[in-house]
Amino acid sequence: MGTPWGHGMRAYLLRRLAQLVPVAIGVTLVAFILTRLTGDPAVVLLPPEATVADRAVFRAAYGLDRPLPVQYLLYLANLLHGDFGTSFGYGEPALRVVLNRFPATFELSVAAMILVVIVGIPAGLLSASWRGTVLDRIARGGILLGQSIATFWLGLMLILIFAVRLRLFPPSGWEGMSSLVLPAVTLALYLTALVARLTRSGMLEVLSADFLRTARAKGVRESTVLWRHAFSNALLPVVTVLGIQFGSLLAGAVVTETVFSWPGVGSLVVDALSRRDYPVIQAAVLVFALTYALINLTVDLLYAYLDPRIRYR
Amino acid sequence: MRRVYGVLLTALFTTALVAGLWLGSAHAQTGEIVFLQTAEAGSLNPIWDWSVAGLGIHAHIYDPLVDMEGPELKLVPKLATSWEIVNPTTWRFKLRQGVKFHNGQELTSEDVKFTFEAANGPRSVKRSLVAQIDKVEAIDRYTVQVVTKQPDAALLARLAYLYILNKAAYEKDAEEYGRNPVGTGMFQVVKWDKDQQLVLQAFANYWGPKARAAKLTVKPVKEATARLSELQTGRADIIRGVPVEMAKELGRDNQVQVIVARGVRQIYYPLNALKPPFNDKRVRQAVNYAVDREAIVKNILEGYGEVRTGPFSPKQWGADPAVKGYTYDLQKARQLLREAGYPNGIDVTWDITSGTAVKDVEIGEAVANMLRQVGIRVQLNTLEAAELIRKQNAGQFDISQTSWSLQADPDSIISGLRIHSSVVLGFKNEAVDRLIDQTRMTMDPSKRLTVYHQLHRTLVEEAPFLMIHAQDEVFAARKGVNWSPYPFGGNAGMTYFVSMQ
Repeated sequence: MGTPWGHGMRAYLLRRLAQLVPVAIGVTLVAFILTRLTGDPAVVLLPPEATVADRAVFRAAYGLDRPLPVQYLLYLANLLHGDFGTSFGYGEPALRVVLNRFPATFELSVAAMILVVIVGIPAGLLSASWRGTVLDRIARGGILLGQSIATFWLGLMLILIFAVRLRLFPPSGWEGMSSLVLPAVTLALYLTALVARLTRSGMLEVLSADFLRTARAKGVRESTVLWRHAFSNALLPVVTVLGIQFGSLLAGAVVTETVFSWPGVGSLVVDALSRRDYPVIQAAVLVFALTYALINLTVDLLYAYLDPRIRYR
Repeated sequence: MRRVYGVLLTALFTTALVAGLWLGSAHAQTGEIVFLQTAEAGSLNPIWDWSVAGLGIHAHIYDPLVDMEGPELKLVPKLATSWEIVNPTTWRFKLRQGVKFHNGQELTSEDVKFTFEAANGPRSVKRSLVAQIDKVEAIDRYTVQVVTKQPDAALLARLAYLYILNKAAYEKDAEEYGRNPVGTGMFQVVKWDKDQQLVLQAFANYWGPKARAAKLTVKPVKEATARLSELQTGRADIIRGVPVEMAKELGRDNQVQVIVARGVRQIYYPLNALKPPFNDKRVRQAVNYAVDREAIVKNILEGYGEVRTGPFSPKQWGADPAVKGYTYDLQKARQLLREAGYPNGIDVTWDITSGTAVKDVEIGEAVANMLRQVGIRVQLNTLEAAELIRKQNAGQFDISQTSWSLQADPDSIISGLRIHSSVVLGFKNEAVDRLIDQTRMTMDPSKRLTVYHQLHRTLVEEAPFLMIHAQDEVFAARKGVNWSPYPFGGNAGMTYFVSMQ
């Protein structure tokens, strides 16, 4: 494997990083407009008997009485100083509210991702290598099940069986490794099935390709054919999916987080939406957008690593 | 490709290692009381957070001047030992002496004065508590004088929600105060891992009775099944928000007791009297006659609720015991509709939420069927809570939904129902306005009660809302935990933990 890190690569990297700036600005604008469409925070946060005047005072305290373009420009100007605004619901800097929740989300996503990789890929490989056997059927059944079970139901079942009955793991909360198991399994199941399916179909496709017949004709050992030639080619689409899905795991573990009272960003954003907590929603969206963009960039770079034919310039 | 195997292998080993740790972890018994709420407080600064979860927690860290106590919600001295009404707009409070804040400072009139000002500040969500107040003076170290803009007979009951702040700490850093609050309450904050747990310990220098639990951990667990699981596995001692369909089954678990606070949250369905068809009193009455309340409470709430036929609980101070309220009478309902000029019935929409009140959608569907019997055809419209409130404030509804908890003074319910024309929720009536003003201006309790009886009668007659039921708050606790909630609704829940045995 040659090194992909040539001069073209560095320029490419800089270009991609520079592209993040307009992306970030676009994201702030969209998030800003969408949050404003959700409604008035003074309605949600003040008690029902609050007068019109009370609500006006509250809005003025957070600058919500100004014209929208002015609010947006002020928001951008403050962003440049690292000020994401003050959360209406928490009375704390919005970025801190979001970042406080990030470790729990990250831990859960990484754990789920590890499960996906160490279960999904081998399952797909085995299923493809022993196509048509009992093993394949079991794997395919598992894939079907994994992609059809509702996350919510799975979470509750795992709690009932492994927490309430067997008492192996705590039913909820974020308190060390033992509490990570059930939510990670819940979160990983769908994606594990997806990755297994992709690996399986990718392998099957590659296994019937001409170059493999050539390799076999040359007398290359079957294990080398499978692992070195077929697997590395079948892995490419899997890496793409893993990259995209990792981003969405970070942002979208809402159901799992709710079922297990996992203090992550997904449930924070849902709460923030129901409270109309604009600064928190905006901060979370921006943080996620940037994370997502960085993950995509990493995946693109990984391509070059996995497939020598891909070069960036 | 060897790299990939390497990564896979490392992951595998890590997992094995981690799995070993998981199985090795034991459930430690620490002896503390763990209470599960349904949501997390926004802030520990009581001026910034008026959420149900927030109030329940604030009550342990802070004290108000006066507090509500017992099932009858009697107003009792707390940080104020006594008070006198100097004249109808002037109240003088004597403060308890020697009360210590968690930072060691003594409570003085300056702290009280400061609290009133902070509650009136721009970021405060509690302005409505102090809106009637003109000025607050610190007469001496232990005397505070409160002057209201007009006579305000319900002032005392509102002050039960105003938790007294420590001026020095708050002025130093209000944001920090929201995380590490300084109150005079029975418990002080040890640490707050937001969205995970709030650890409180009994405050050694508390002026009042000693806390019965040395340590109290409050955790937010949104999912009901998860709360039940935590309780059944012994990781929690008391949980709030037990779904009524699970309560009966839970009662059969011999490790667990179900504890019920009766009828604490009253559900109201405002009828928009500012436009047809509900601008006609008879149509509003017809709706109230057409509902079989007993059936709703028995079949949908599984008995975990109380029938309500008027604005107040029969136990609420101010309710007129002579008023019977609405019965289930289809003939009467049809007749009233005919008299109002709707012989063919009416078509209306009904905004409800899903999950804000217990079984709200199921109740909406059942009641819609009942109403259809008399020709009131209802289209149910399930909305998110904030959108429902927005439509209420904009007056864009036929029937809507709101709720209010039991109160020491009915004025808070009246304010919450927004039936005074100063804050409107689909109903304006000069006679009602006058009566409400009178209840607020009449300082003599017995004369005030007479006015309230009249207001109660008038509201039943005018029927600005459909009144069906008040829901119970269902808790569960481990057997052996001797604890009872005061009959507060969602609003307070304040003495929940204090009454711990």
